Amino acid sequence: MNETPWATPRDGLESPQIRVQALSVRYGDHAVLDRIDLSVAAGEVVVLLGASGSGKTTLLRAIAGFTAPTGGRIALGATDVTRAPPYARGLGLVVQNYALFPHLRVADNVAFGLRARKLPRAQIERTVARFLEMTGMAAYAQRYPRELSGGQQQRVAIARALAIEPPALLLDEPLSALDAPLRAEMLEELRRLHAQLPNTAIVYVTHDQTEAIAIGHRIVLLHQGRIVADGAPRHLHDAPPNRYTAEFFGQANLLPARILDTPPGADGARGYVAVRIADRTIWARRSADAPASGEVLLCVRPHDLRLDADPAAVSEGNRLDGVVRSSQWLGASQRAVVDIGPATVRVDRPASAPLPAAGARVQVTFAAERAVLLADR
Amino acid sequence: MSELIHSRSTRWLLAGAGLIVTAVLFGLPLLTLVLASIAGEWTRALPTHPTLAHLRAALGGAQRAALWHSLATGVGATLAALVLGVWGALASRDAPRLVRRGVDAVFLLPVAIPSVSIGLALLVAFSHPPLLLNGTVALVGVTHVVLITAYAYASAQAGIARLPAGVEEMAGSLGATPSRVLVRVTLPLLLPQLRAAAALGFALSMGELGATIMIYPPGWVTAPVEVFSLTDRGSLFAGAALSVWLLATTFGALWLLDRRGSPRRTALARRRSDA
Amino acid sequence: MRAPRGLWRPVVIAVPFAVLGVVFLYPLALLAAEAFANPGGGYGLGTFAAILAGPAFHDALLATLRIALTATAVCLLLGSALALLVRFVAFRGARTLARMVDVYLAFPSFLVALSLTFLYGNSGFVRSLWLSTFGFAAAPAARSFLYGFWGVVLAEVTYYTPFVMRPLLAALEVIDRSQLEVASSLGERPWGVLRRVLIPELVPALIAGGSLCLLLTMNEFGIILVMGVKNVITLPMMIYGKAIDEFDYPAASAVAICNVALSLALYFAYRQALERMPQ
Repeated sequence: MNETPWATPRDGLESPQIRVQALSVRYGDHAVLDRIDLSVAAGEVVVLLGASGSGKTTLLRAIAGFTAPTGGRIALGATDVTRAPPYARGLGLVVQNYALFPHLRVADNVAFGLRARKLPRAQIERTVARFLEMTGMAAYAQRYPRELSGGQQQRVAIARALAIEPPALLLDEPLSALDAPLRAEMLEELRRLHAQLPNTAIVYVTHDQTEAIAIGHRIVLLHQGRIVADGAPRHLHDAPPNRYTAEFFGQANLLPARILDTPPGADGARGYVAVRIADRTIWARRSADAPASGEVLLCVRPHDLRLDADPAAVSEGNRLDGVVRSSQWLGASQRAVVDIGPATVRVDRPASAPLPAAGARVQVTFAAERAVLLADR
Repeated sequence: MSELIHSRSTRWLLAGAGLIVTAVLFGLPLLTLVLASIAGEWTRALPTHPTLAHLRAALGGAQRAALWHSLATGVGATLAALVLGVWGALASRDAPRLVRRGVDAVFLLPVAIPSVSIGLALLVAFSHPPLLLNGTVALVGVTHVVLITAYAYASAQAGIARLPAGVEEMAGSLGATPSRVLVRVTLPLLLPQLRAAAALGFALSMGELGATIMIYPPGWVTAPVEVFSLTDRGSLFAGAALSVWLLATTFGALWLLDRRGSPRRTALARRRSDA
Repeated sequence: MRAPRGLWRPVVIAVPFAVLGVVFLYPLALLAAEAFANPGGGYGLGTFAAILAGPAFHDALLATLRIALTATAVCLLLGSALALLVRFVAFRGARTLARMVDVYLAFPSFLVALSLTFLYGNSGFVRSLWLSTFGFAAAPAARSFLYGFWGVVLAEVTYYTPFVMRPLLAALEVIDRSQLEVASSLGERPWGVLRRVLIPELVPALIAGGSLCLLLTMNEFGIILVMGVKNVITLPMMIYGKAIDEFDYPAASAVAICNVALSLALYFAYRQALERMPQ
């Protein structure tokens, strides 16, 4: 995972490249987008992540100018473009099915936006050559789109969008039509392109969290037309602010728990909170939105859990008693499903560990810093 | 949709303009025809003395006969053209490419040839022995079959191209004889296309004027020919009235054809047979 | 039905072919024979050349081409405009309109001529409205425009525009709307999107619709006959006149052969265009 951003955005001193304020899109009573606030800085890569119907594509289309908002504002730099038509916004757009113009050769596809701007011929040729070179498509300049593979078509679509040198590039599920190996290659390609154009902001819509993690400086998770989480991928993964984020993002185990009145002890002082789960006291971090007392959810990732085959062993940190319901070898790892009373948890372990038998009594252990408490909503 | 025209007011303006053009160019003529059929007099801007006399008159005498001739010709020619077209399309489906191209050309050519020329050709050909059909009703039928077989053939061909792969072989492997496969599998699957072809063929036959006027015998005046001779004599309102009946008959038949095979009805029928 | 194997197969294939041979190919052959028959017996180019060299044929050919080309051009313009409107302005009405277009195709062409007579004829609705509004002082020309070149063009445009709209509507339905969106996001204004993206992609449909329209307008007969146009003689009208009014079958056949040849050439072009249409 990207601990260090792969291309650092410029200092956020100037006004953001894209600013969306209280943006709403409604059809009758149904709010597709409900008062969305979003800022994208120059050079920043923001992923709009969400299930289908979450509003992520509508948000992108509103920014591009294809969906008229029913409320709120959109500004590009210092200019309000809420009512501006798409052709006046100057944003680059790349869509899932490439949408290359079938009657134009690759070079003419890339030149399309430049010709719309009536630039001098020599300049158009230079720019087209530059972006075809950058996307590795220079050798295909005279081909027609139908003569290219899916990945090649997507490269042309990206070159075409970048050729107008937009302040921001909008990508709508750009890799969904590609198979897995090609998708990984194109993600790498996008990162490389962005390194060459460090001031271009990218808004990237996807439903795929691996894509989101691989490319985003920031992930904005949408659900039912609202932003439910907004932060660095690592942060959303390790400290999801709410249940939806935890579930959507990385298949977290969620266990109902009740906060105990923590005696002012060592753990409490380090910011940990004690909760009760299945007659055990468990220590965990508290997320910013979690309540100070009462019912909460304990969130812990499958790969942060360990299994101890000896139910009587006394181990450091948190432990829960459980019974193995099933276990399966998955090639690179193994997964066990363990019944711990109020819930079942998934435990991911290295493939080399002995596969626990179904019905075996085990201890599930985990470190307090890998467990986080969330509000149950 | 707003892909192209982003301004709402421009959209409304264009929609209004389109609607007006459509109404004036396409709606008004139809409306006029209907108005004329019930006009007693038309010397002012709008017709006066509305009357049903023309419409009623068009259901008697020569005009009634003409309607009947058209209907009979239309039904007969459509059925014959369907048989011929479907037969041709089925027979040529497995034929070698070259043969198929030839069959295609012969079947589809009548579409391209001006109807007056087809009428003249049939007139010339069947005024000579050995086939002396001049002045017979049969010549009208033959002419209409020639004119509409192309559509039946093209439709059947399109239907055959869309037959689910392998169903006929499957039926054959289950022991059905070729004729049983034809009647129980192939033709039912072609039914939507055949229905469309029948509708088009019937409508064309009902409205056919160019070839019919060259070859019709005095005893078999079709409705379009009668409309022409009425308006040529100056009986415009009577012509309009007969036209309205002609249209009503055509669209009535098309509606029946459409209704008989609508999916809802067949689904209902299936449910009834299940019960 | 797979045609039966063995001996019966050629017979089964031959039956419909033979029927069409008798009722269609044989008459066409006799038409040609009539056109190339010499008055004294035997065959030659005599009658044929005489007819073709005459001013009447020359005028008819010119009138046919002028009417067909004008009507087709107007049909293409109007049909494209309406099809684009349907697709981009009144999208919800598109299906209804497509059905209405289909209904119009089942309408006999000569009825359009009859309707237009009531509308724009010498004593039609428009003239009556004009007279009752402005009085006789401002009366337009005694003869309406309807009984001349433009009347025929108007009737043919009314009747054949739907034939152009059909392939266009079909082509517009399969055009990917994200292409238009990308074009517009690349900075192209609506007019430019139309010119640089939509129209190039509609070219096959325009060619298909246009050549069909040209073919049908060249062969149109009912409209001119029923409208009672006296001074516009097209090839089909000339054939009709020679055969029915003058009983001059050889002359009629000669004109018919030319008309058929012209139509076949156009039909061939139309089939070529259809094959180039997507799907």
